[in-house]
Amino acid sequence: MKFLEKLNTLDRRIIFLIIGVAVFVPLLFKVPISVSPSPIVKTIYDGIEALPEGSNIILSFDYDPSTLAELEPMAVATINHCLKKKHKLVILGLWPQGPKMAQEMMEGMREKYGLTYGTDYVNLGYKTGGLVVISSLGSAISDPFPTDMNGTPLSELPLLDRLHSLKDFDYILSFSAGDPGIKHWVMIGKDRFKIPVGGGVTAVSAPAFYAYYNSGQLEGLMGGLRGAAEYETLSGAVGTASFGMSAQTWAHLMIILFIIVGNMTMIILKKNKDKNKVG
Amino acid sequence: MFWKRQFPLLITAFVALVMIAAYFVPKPGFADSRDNLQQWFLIVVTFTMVLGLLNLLLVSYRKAVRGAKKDRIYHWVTIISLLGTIFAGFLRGGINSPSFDYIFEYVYIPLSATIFSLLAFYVASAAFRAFRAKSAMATILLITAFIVMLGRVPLGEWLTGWAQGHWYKFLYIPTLTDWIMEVMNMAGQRAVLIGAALGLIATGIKIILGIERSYLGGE
Repeated sequence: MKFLEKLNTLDRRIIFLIIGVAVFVPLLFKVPISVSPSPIVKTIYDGIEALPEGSNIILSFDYDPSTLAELEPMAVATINHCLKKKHKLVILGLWPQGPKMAQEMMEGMREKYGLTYGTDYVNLGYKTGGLVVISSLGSAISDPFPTDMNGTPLSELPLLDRLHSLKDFDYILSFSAGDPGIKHWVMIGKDRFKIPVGGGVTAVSAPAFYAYYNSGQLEGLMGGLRGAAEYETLSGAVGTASFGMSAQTWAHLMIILFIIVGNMTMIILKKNKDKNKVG
Repeated sequence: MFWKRQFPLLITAFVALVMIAAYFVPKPGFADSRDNLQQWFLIVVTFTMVLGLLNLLLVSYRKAVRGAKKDRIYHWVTIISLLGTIFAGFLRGGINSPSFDYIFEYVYIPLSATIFSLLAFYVASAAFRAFRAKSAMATILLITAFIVMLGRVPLGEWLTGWAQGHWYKFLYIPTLTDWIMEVMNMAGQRAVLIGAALGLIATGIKIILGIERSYLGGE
């Protein structure tokens, strides 16, 4: 009985240790797990796939490093897909740290795909203002962003010669960790300018966006690491999300076991208590 | 009193009405006014960031000098980190300077990601303690959480793959998870969204009419 009582009030340090091992070991062995894609993710893939080669896409990096583990894999997977299709990318961020992380990501892509800055992609940087920044983009890109991230005037960037406002884009992808983020792109980009909006959010905030998906305001949604892994499966490229899924699977399994153990011990202890009372 | 109370209310009402009119009246004059106001907004918001930075410095300095002794060190860390990062940025090349890059890539990103990843440990500990089937409602919550947790990882597919293609295919956990997310969850979320939107419209009207004045401070 003492064992059950101890188990019922298990020291949280033991829980931490078990979760730590459950996450660390699968990451160490790097076993990729492919997951079957759900319709909500597949619509983004199909949307980008259906665009004619060389279409113009906005990539909005609306997150900071705290959610990098979840959002970066989906950004990498979608950018790879866009670049394979030779789409032109205009990067910006509604969060201060976003464009800097995008810049580092694009360094690797530049070599891999032989990209030219200013022709194949542009990084406009960060501008504070959230919804108003998006609304200003609807009037003219140069209103909120007179220069790119490095201070180069937009007139010196060939890609932006033919892109003047939000209306000139074919798709918007937002990787969003909160406010401002994908919701605001839907409000202005989709609802006002009728440009398809898709993207990814953290697993914890994904349930809030199903209503936008169901109403057709959101083309598709990647939720957390699972969403990114689904996109990797669709594009046939194993990335960090597929490797991370094994760690997430073990972590979920451990949490489920903890819940089962907690409930079983609670029920047994309660039964014994009731028995003792009757006795 | 007029400059402190009525005048800001008039500005607010004027700006709000211009923005609403620009949305519904597709005439160049309205669109130009909207664009100008948006530009002003971006400028004002940029200044608030500088103001926030100065405020953080001032508050941290006060606490570092006069705050509780055991906490002073943390405020000094804030001040030194803030000034150090600004200095690294101004030193050479702004946000592309190598020293700023170094701080961002090797200090800020790992620290930020580490703090957030601790959440997994606390979630596990909280789930063990709080997810107890003590009542009918708690049991429903527990079962729902169970299904969604299994459905979000391949474990759900492996465990219930046998149900696919049969009349009892609804037992296939990923299908069940999708149903919970797209029906049960969405109904609740939609109610919250509509409620919040109606509240927002009501608050907006109150602000335009000058009934809601708390943003001016006081009252």
